[in-house]
Amino acid sequence: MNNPLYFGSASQPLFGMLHRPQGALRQTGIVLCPSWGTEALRSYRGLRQLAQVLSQSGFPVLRFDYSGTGDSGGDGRQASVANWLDDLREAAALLRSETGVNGLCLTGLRFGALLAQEAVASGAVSAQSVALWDAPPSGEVFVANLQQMDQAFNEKLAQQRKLRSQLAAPARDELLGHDWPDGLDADIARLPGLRKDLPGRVIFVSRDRTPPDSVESIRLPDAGHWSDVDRIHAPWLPAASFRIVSQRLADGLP
Amino acid sequence: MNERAISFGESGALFGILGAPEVPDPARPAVLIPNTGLTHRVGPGRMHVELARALAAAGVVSLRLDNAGLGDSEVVPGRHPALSALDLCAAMDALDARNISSGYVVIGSHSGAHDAHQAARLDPRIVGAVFVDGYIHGTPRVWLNRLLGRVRDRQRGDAERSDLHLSPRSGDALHAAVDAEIRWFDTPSHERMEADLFDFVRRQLTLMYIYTGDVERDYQYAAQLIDAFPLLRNYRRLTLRHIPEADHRYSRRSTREAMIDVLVDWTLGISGRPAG
Repeated sequence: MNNPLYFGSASQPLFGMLHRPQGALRQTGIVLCPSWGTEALRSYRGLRQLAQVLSQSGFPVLRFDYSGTGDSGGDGRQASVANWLDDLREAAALLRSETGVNGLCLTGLRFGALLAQEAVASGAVSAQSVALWDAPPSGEVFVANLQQMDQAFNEKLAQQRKLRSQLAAPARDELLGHDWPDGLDADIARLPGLRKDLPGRVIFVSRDRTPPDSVESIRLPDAGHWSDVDRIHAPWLPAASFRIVSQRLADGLP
Repeated sequence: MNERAISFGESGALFGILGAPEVPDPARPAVLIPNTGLTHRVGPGRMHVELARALAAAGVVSLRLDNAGLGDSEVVPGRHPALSALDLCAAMDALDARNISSGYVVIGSHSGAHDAHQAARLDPRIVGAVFVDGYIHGTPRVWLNRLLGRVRDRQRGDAERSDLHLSPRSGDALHAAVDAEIRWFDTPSHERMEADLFDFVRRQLTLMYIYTGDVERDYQYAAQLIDAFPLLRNYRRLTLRHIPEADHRYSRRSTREAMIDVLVDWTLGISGRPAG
C-alpha cells in the first residue's frame, strides 16, 4: 500500500510516498534517494517499481523529492547539496517515525548515491547500510557528464530545427531544461566517489563498474544508459535488476 | 503552497496533486493537466508544477494527474491506451465530488493535447482546452512545401525521414521503448476533426492551440490551423499561437515562464459555466 505524504517545514514541504510492507515487517526501512533533473524524471516510475518490489519483501520504503524538485516545495534556483542533505535527514527521520523501524538502508541512484554516502559519512543520517546504484566515479565526473549531455542535447535540437525555430540559448543557471543555480556544479563536484570511511554495510550496484575487492557488489544485467543523449527522456525501468537487488537486500538485512 | 495528493478513479487507481488557492472561487473552472509523454505529473522541466502553482496564486484550482500506467497511477488492465482521456473524466468526477469548481479546462501538451481533445469530445463538463503541439492537419500550402522539400532533399541525397512508430502508448511495455520509437497518438481524419471542431464551436468551448518549433515539419505557418479548418476563422473563443522558438518540453526557462504567463492569463479569461 502506498501513502503519499508531505513532511518537513510547513512553508516548503517535501513530498514523499511511503510504501508499507506486505507481510511481516522487517526491522530495516529503505529510503530511496533519487538522482537529479532528467535522470530523476527518467527513473521516477522505475523507483516506484523498485519500492514495490522491496515492500513485497517486507521492507517499508520511502521515496521522496528533494526540495525545489518534483512535487516538493521550493524553488529549484535555491537548490544546494546542503539543503538536500537536510531533506534526506528529514526523510530518514520520517521513515523511522512512521514505521518504527530501528535500522535504515539508504539506496541512492546516480547522484542520489553520492548524496546518500555523504549523508552517512557526515553523520547527517545514521544508516546501517548504503546501496549505491550506478554511482558515478565522483561528483566531478557526474557534473562533467551532465554538461556533456547538455551540449549534445542542444546540438541535437539545433540540428533538428530550422534557423527560424532555433531555441534560445539556455540561461547560465539551467542545464538540460532544469534549474542549475550558480554554485551547484561546484557543490556537487566536491562529492567524492566511493568512500572507504563509511560505517556499516556498503553495497555497490552496477553493470559496468566494478568496485575494489573489499566492497560488496551486485552485478546488474541492465545498463542505465545515463550518457546516451538519445535516451535522455527514455524511462529507466530495469525490472530484472530490481528483482536481483531486492533479493540481495532481503537476504542480508533484518 | 496548498497542495494535496489524491487518489481517484476506479479502486483509487489514479493519482494526482490537487493545487488550490488560499480562497478558491467555485465560480471558476478548475484546470486539469494530464501527462506530457511519459513524464510523470511534474511535467518536463517541472513545468506542470510551476504552472499549477502560478494558477493557485491567481486563484485557480488545478489537478496535475498521472494517466493510468504513468507516474504513481496503476495500469488499468485491458484498456486501450487511446482511451487515456477517460482518466480526465475520472478526475472531473473526483473534483465534482468535492464541489470546488464550475466546469473544467484541460491544458495538454503533446500526448496531453490528444487527451484534452478526446476528453472534450466525451465530456460536456469541459468548457475550455489548450492543445500544445496536438493534432496537425495539412493544407495545400504545406503539401506544396513538402513536395519542394523532398525534391531538395533528393538533390542533396538526404535520406527521407522514417515515420515508422511501433510501440504502444502506456503500460510497462512503453517504458522499454525510446522516445523516437513511440507513436503517441493517431491524428483523426480531417473529416473527424472537422466534426469535432464543429461540436466544440457549437458548445462554445474556449480553445487555445499552440504550435512550437518541435512540430515545424508538420505545422509550417501561423494560420495553418485556420486554413485547414475554415470554420474556426471567425470563432471568437479561439486563440492560436505559433511559437517556433519554443518546444513542448519547455527546455528553456524563458519560454517556460512566458508560456505559464500566457496560460494563466488565458485561464483567467474563462468563466465557469455549464457547457450548453
